[in-house]
Amino acid sequence: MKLADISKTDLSNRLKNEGIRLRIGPFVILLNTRIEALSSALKLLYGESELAIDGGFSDFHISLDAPAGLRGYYRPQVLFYFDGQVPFKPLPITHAFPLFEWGLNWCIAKYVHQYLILHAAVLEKNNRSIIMPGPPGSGKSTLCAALALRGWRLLSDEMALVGLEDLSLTPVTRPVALKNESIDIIQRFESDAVLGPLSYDTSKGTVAHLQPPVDSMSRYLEKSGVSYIVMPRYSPESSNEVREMQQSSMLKELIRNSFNYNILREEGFRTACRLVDACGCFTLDFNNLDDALTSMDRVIHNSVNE
Amino acid sequence: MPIKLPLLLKILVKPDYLPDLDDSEWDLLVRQARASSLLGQIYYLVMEGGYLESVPERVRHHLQSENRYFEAQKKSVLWEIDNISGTLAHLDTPIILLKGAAYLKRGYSVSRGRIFNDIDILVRQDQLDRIEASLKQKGWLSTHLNDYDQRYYRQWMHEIPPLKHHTRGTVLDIHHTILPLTSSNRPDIMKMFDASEPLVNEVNISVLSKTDMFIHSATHLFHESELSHALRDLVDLRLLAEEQGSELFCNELTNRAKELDLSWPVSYALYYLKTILQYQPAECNHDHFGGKEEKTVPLFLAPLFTRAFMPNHHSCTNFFSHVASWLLYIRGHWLRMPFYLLIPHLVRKALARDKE
Repeated sequence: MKLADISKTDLSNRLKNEGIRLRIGPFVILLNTRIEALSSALKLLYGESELAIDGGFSDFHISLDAPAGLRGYYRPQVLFYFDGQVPFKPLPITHAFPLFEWGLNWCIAKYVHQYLILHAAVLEKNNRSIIMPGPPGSGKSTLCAALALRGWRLLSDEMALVGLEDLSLTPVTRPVALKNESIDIIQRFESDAVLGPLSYDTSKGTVAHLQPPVDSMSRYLEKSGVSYIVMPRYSPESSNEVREMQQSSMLKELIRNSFNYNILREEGFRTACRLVDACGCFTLDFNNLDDALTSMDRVIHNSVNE
Repeated sequence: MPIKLPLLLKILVKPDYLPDLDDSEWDLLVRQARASSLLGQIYYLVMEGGYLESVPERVRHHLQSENRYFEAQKKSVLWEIDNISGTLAHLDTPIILLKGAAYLKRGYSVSRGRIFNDIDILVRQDQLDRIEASLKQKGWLSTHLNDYDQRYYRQWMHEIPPLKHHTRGTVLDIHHTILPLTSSNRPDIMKMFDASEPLVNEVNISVLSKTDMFIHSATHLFHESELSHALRDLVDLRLLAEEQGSELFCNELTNRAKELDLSWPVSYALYYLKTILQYQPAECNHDHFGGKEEKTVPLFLAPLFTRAFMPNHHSCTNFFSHVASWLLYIRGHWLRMPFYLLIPHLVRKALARDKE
């Protein structure tokens, strides 16, 4: 059964009581909340996620709720609970959905070390997968959203889960986080794009999440091999250009963008080395999405130099 | 007061149950163990029993991830110890590693899977200034920079304000004795220095003797005011006692505890090892402490500690747990300082917290 198959009332009842066990990529999340707005946002953005049967092992027990006392009413806030512990400061209740997303990132980065985890988007087309590492401001999420809306399979917007043995990419398909002007850009790019609620004045500015494509969500268990690593670099002044990148520079970028390199150490280093060895490494400078998409197609068709 | 034994305690007492757990029991065990800082211990119990095959795949990932985290910490702590040792070598004064760092360096079973935050060292009080100065030259900076906190540590505590490395973020606690200077217990620390054991292949690094390690750990546990790691600390004590592996251990322990004027924490430790973990070191009985066991821990205190030794997880806490931890908090502070110092200190802390 999918999350979307539960009625709105049923869903909010279950979230208030026994919780739902949501399959997100390889993980099962037991989720509870009394916040109606969060319940609706989940139904919209995670509607295509499968529910696991009740009981059994959940990787993470998460709940989001208003703090006890005054802050439940006066300028209400929301807290993220990881199995009863509160790892972060409270946020305004209107930031509940982004807080869930950030909190889940935190859980994965802190407790999941069977993969090398990179801060990167992962997409696939014609059995060719691309890892796109990128610091904030590089245009990674915007480009990722655009690719997903043009038929690429979305494996992840935030975290690439790289198998330590086989370098396989495990999907953890979730809504794509868009910030500030990217929200308008994506709405103009595709008028059918479904966005969740806007959260204003977060630490990252205004945030909204793009509903992932149905096909990508339904293939949440299908791992993929990796073919390319592309570093996107958005700048309004730059021209559109794909360039080969030195493996050693890419290795440095991967390490810099890794969540758990410090924990995996030698194992992480070896995995990152094998990854750059196995992949074509490119930088992609772009100033508009349409040209960037064309460039990405050239990458997977091995026609960068033509 | 009947307490249903939490799953984590059942497993710690009898790890043979591990292969029989179903998915939802694993769910509870992983959560209770993680909240009590004992997930690494569960990994080792699984490995020791050869049960890995029987662990559901999802759970195995969590156990193995915890172990990866531990292995990374182990490497970086051992590296930091080398670094600290080198920084202080020219001072020609012994640096005694305490707790987690000592267990690791000794390779004791108690170190396996044990995650800890700070490196603790014990040094001679008359060498403190030189040690602090040398470390500061190498990038270790003092935390707690306000005057009150500095004075609080330096006048009253058994340690100076923790140092933090400015790039690596490692925290180093430098102790000159094992209990606060204001505490009613004032063991003669020189006796522990005299019995400490230099490590092979090290210039200036030593550790406490096995018996003193047990006494130190027990003393800390039962003087503590925040007992969120109490169960982990009790498991430490069991592993330390097992490490002794000598039938004379109990006699040695008793005599040494008397010598250091720390008999009561040791007898509390033996009492709770027996009641909570159902463990008794060989040849140990309460005659060693000249009393019947029900008299060891005062009647009003015993149920408070029993509560504190339950897993630090919401499946095991109730209203009484909160009352117990509050009372133990007061008790811990009471032991640390006389009340004419304690009351102004707590008021000051409470006001400072409000300001934050």
